[in-house]
Amino acid sequence: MPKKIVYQKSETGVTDFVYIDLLPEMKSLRHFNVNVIIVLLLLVVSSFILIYIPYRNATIEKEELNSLNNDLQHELILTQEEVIGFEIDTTVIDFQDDIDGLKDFRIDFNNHINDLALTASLQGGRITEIDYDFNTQTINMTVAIVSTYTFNMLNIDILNLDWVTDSVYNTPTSIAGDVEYTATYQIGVEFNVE
Amino acid sequence: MLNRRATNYIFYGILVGVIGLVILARFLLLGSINDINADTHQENISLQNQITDLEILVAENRDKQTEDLYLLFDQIPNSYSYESLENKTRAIFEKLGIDESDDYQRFIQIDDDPVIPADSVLEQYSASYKLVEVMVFFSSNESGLIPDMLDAIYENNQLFIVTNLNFDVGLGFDYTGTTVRFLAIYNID
Repeated sequence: MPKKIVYQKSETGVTDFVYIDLLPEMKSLRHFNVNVIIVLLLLVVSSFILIYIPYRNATIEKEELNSLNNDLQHELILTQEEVIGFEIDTTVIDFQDDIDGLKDFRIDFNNHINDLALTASLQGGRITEIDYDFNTQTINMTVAIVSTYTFNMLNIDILNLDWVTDSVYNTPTSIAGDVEYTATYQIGVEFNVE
Repeated sequence: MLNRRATNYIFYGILVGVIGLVILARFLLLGSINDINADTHQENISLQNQITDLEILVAENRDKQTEDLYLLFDQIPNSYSYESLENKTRAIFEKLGIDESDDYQRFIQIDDDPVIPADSVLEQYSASYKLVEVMVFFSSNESGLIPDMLDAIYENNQLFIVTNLNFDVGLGFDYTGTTVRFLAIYNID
């Protein structure tokens, strides 16, 4: 855009003088350079802060992680070889552990039954019923005897046994002219106990 | 010729553009590295866990003596056969003299798919193993048979777990009904 236009009419009227300054208005060279320098400086500083420093840190972290990764992979291979060396088969171990765990659910009936049966027989009583339930982990044993006195003695002896947890006295029944007294004793059983 | 205001706008625009370019370059460049680092970090955690698990496995089992697999399969067979289980049960009781005669009236029932209560301690095994319930009833007035029967069941090579036992002497001392239920376990994939 012309900066300046000068129009002058000649005195003779033959020619007119027109002056047009067609040169653009230029900022000073110094001003131009300052802007460029600012842009370049901003580019360099922002690149340094926003790109170079984080990139350098990330690269260092990557190297450390890769180094650790290599070490761990090597250690894993060595540990796997150790497992193979000890011939550790987890399938068999788990299977055997399951078998051992299941075996613990077998209770020693005879130990429980025999002690109570012996106590009963010593007083002349007899075991009329044994009922074991796995889910409630209890054995109910019913003992019968035909004498009130011995029944009471037997009752005391049985209740003194540690593993007898409860007792229920049943209605006496008449058998062959005798009255038979019965009581049902509950024995608590625990798994994992031989 | 641009006026001064337009020139300033362009200059500021260039500044913003430079910042934007730098930020874009940062995200493009660092984004991929951070992703790689995050993946490597996760992989390292996974490797470390695997190593720890194996070390625990070795520490716990290095001195453990396991039986041969075929011996374990004697206790928990890897195949189920109704006939085989029935015959094995029959053999246990025949050996004790408890047979199908009128004296004992023994009979055997096998349930291939027994109901295991949800709160039972056996529930955890029912998902991995096949549990089969065997019920045996016999009549006898020999109370001494009960301990022998339980010993015979437990001493069998195959693992049996007695879940129910009912021994009942009827009135008059002349009749004993005994019912025993036990589980046989099978390792069937």
